[in-house]
Amino acid sequence: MRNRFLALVLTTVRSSTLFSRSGLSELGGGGRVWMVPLAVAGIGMLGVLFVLMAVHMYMGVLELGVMTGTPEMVFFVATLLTWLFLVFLGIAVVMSVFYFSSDIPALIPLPIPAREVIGAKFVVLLLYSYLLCALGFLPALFVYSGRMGPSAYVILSGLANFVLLPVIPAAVAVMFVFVLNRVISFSRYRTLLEVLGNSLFLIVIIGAQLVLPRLMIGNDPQKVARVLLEKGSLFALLGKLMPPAKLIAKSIAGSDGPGVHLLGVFLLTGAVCLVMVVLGERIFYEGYIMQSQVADVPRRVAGVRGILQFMERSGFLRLRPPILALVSREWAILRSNSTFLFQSFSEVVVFPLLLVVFRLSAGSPLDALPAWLFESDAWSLCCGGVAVMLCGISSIYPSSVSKEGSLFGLSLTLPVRGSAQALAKLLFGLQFTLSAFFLNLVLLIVIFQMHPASLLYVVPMGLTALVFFGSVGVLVDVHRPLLAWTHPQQAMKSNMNVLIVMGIDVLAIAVVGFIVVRLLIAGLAPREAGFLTAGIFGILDFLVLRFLARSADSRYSFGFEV
Amino acid sequence: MIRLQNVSKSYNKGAVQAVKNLTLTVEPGKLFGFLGPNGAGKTTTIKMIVGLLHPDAGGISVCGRDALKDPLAVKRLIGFVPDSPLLYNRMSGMAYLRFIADVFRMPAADRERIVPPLLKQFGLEDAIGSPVASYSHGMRQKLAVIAALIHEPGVLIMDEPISGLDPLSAFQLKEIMRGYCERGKTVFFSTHVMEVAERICDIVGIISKGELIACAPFPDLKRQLGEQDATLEHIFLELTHAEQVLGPGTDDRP
Repeated sequence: MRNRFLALVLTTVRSSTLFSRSGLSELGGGGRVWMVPLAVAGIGMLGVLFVLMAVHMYMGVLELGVMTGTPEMVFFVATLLTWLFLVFLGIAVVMSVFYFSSDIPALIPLPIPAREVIGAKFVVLLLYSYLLCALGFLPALFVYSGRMGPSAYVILSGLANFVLLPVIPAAVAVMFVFVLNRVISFSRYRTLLEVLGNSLFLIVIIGAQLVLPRLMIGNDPQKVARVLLEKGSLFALLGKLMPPAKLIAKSIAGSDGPGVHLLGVFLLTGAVCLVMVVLGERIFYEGYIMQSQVADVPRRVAGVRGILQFMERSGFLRLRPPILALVSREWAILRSNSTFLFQSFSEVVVFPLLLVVFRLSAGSPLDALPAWLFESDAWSLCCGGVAVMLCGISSIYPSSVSKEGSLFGLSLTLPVRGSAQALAKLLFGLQFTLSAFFLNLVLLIVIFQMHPASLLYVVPMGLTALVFFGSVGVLVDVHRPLLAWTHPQQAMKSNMNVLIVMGIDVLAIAVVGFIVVRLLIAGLAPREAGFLTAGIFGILDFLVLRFLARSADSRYSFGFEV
Repeated sequence: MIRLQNVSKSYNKGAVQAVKNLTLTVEPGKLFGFLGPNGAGKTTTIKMIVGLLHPDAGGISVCGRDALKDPLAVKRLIGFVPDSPLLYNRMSGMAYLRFIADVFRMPAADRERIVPPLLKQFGLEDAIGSPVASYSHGMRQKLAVIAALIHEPGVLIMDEPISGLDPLSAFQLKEIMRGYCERGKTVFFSTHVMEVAERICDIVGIISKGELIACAPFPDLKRQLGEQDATLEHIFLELTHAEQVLGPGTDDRP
């Protein structure tokens, strides 16, 4: 008989992480053994890049610390950065591990105290956290030892602190999530929370792109040191902001009495864990057993669906055309999980956001461009082309059938032609890409001085091109859908169809672009070139749509085996 | 023994009353069949007994222990099979059973004594080393049943345990349930299969719209309704769907 807690920890780790034989075989499942080394190589490369960046930054911080007589400041910064990342990213992981994990309803009826379940889940959380700690904290230890000379105490204390490092931020994230669940029901608002979390992450990434270059370019370390020294001890100043991080920094460097601070770190970590367990035991299970499930209460439906429902109730619309019902079903598929929702909406907003960031970070964006390009007559056509390209390359279309997953069998039983189903997918996707296209055009006019009159030929060009890109995407996914997936990410982000369609789109852009550029050089006016491009894509649309309709009719009739 | 005293549970801040003032006692050695239409409150009641849901009001006790004040002690006494088996997909069936045995603090020798006959009985010996992810619905259901029986609980609670089982396994499970009761233990299970309830249950409870509308041995139910030749299916439909069965305006049940 194994110890109950140990059995629970092992079971939780094996079942919810890849740190198990079946987890690894799942990663390399379906004969894709190459996935494991590829994943390791990919993560390793990213890790090396991150470490190089961290080493560079910590060297600067250490120099600043040496100048101000507080070299341990590098540990303070490393701890603070690692903690911030752990808390910020940890909140999503905590929600996933503690609340969206399918094993909780299986564990509650078992005679296991809540504190043991919390402990086992916390171990999983720490396993995830150590990777980030290694990347964020260990470089500081190497940099410090390299510059100040290696010392056994620093290395041992540094490693002890490394082991303890994720405990406090992980516990803080856990407690935050426990309390948050008392305010918002995770089970009811799961999709909304996930979309909000992803959006927040996107905003932070884009915000970092905006802020970091300015920080790195605009600040002189010596000037910063001088200014801060004038205000007193830099370390004392920073330490007031986050005393526990200061305690860790002092405990590693061994300043002001070696061992004392390390003991303090142990005590502090233990105290935070204790608070988490006591709090968790009181409220963790409550999220499940006090739940108030969503009942079948009729909800108000807004938007196009709301208008259609109103028309049906009022008798204006006796029979809803199947195509509208199919488009409406596409919305239901999209709303079925946060990955689909976030991915689709982020494709609409990410490029406009980048345009705004470019505008904010580059000051006058046109200064950054070569004058001959901006002053050229073809400038507006170029802007239009960029807008088409940014919106056309999308993962919405090449995953339109794949997203149905195991429910795809239902589509085959519907008494609707395959061409109508494919058309519904195209129309649905166009709602996103056309919204993004028009949003980009507005921003290009406002920020990049694209001429409004050029919309006369840019809009037809965009409409025909986007229909082409969309049709190709749906066509490829109709032919080789990825229906057997366990996580929605596989259907949309890790779908080979997305890459294939991206390749076809880029090839089409290159060929049509080459023809148009040659004609522009030969003296064709931009307006004529725009209409010509629209014409080329119009012909391509006709051909691809015909092929798509035939192909979908045939595939939906007897071409699939589900 | 299971005792529910004036138990109520509502969802959506009281908008939906799932269980209303339910009072029920299942004595030791009795096989209790819990029947009701979809959404009547069967699963909510079972979830409250096993600790998956907290009642808004009322008290629940199992073998004399208060399920709300001392849930861990009650959970040690219960074997639970949920309506859809909740299992760890990445584990093998045997690893899962070992985990359950460890959680119930079972010595390895006891585990070795109990598990193999159960595996044989349910025909899972060949698949028990494979990951649960590769199991069919029926195999998952069988594994969940074995996991509930492994610690030989005093009270067996099962939410529609027969659905998904092949005829032989369903027969075996019914035999096990009867055998349990003959050894003085309590079995509480929900089902939609009236023939099963009619044949094996000592007491039948019928819940409709959150209220217990009948609770008695099947022969007593027939006597109360004055229909000696009626089947349980007929009685159930009469009590729960009076209008559809007897026509409008005839809701004059006793």
